Amino acid sequence: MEAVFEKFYENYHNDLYQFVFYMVKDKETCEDLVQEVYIKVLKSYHSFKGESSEKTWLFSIARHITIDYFRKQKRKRIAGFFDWREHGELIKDQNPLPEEITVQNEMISNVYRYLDKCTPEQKSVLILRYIQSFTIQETADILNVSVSKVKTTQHRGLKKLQTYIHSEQQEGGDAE
Amino acid sequence: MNRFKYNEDKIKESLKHMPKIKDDLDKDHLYQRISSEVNQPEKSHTKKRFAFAPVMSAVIAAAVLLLLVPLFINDTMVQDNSDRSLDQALDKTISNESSDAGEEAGSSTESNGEAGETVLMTDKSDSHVIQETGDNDMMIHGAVADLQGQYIIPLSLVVSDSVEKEQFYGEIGDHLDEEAWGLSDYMFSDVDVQLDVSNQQAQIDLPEDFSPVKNGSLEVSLFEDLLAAMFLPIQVDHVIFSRPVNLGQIGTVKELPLQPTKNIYKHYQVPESERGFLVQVPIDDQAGFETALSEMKRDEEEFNVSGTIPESADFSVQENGSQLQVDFTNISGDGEILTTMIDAILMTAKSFGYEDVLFSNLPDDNINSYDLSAPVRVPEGVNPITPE
Repeated sequence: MEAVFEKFYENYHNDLYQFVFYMVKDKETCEDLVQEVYIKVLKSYHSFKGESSEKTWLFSIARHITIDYFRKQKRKRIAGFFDWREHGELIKDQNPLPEEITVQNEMISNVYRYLDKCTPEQKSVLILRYIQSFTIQETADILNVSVSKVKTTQHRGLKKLQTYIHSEQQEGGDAE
Repeated sequence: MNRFKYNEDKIKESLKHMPKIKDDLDKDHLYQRISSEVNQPEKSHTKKRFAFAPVMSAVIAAAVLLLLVPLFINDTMVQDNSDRSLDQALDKTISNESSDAGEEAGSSTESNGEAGETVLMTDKSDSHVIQETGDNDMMIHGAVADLQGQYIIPLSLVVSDSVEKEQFYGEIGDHLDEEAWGLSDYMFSDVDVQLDVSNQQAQIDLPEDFSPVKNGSLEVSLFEDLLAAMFLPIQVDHVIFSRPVNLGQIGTVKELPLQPTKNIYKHYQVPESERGFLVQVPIDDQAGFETALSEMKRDEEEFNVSGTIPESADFSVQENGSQLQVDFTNISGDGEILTTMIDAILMTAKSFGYEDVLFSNLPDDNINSYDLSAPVRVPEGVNPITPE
């Protein structure tokens, strides 16, 4: 077990951590989910048939776990529908920007902030494609969707970011 | 380079330059936490599920193939065989149907092609309708507009009834390839829905920035029609919004009654698209069914819409309570044309409030698994969408 953990940690931990963090944008949640990913990996490594690469498999697990996390959050929010504003704040990006982001330029900060406006599927694609530099095919393999679907989801995610950033820029222009 | 392309490139560059976030996890500490969890005895149901997952998936897949063909399209996250055991442990909403269901509805019949049920979607490779869902399934009704925002294209997503229906309303868009199919973007990707069917209402949580008023009144009208297409089929005739919504000339509203309208069904397909859809075309409330059928012959090329009844067809209509009889003369066409015609007539009849349609004098009593020797029930859904 330790050998498997070592292998995955040495080869993929940084990428895994970055992926999960950018999905949930909270370090504490990220740590919990990364831990869950490793637990799943160690428990099911014996059933990994090698039909995909280890990295693809690992990220597929990570994606499932983060999507599951979002669904649980959503169920909490729906359950408290008439108090949705209160619960909504838990979902919205109320966490302060990480220091690593605040020292970047305004565009990067805006893109980081508005990633939350994307659906989990769009976010997954954008993070895998651009932050993690997976190819379209690799992304399709991880998400178990078609290449065409990746392209469509990517396009919609980028368009959504565009819309929000454009509005932000317009408001900034009006304020001036 | 146009402005939007420039912005898109800047966004991509920003994503690529997202900084590395410092990982405060200590490797040894992480391993200790993980190993203690892994070494803990698992809860019996989880372990059992995990241990028997590959066998169970094969058994269930075989059962589905033999008995419940519609379940091929019921999974919202259907996975390849290599991921199946893992997915079952990871995600309770994943069912273990065959990976063949990963195809779109229109092509799933090519891979499945099962005999048995004669009125099920997967037996009708050219069909645009779902006659009925299986015992363990439920249908989610979605809707999008055509590219020009002219007509509503109702959609049907069949999923397992073991999961919450509400979660799928926001997810329908993820199963669409709007660009390839010539559709407008699904408008409700970011909404949360809570159904209150007993009170015939739906509560919709819209994002803060949501507004159907983009291009004036046209979008508002579409917005109402989209909601009607999504919720009236489940007897929900009233929606309540989490916050007031600007509906242009109607004003800002917090709730919206949904009005049923009479529609005929024509065929929509943009030239570059591999699939077409039955599209709702509103017709006057006072129009009779013969008028509707006549109107269904008419093409609307400028909107990529074509008639669903051959120009040369003659027909007479008899209404018999909830049953309609449509008697054809001078009707011809290949299987695909006739199937689309039957699909469209059935959906139009449904819109008019009929429950069955008896077709007479068609070239064959069996057209693409429609048994036309008896009245055909109106379909439960139209334009099936297969979750990938």
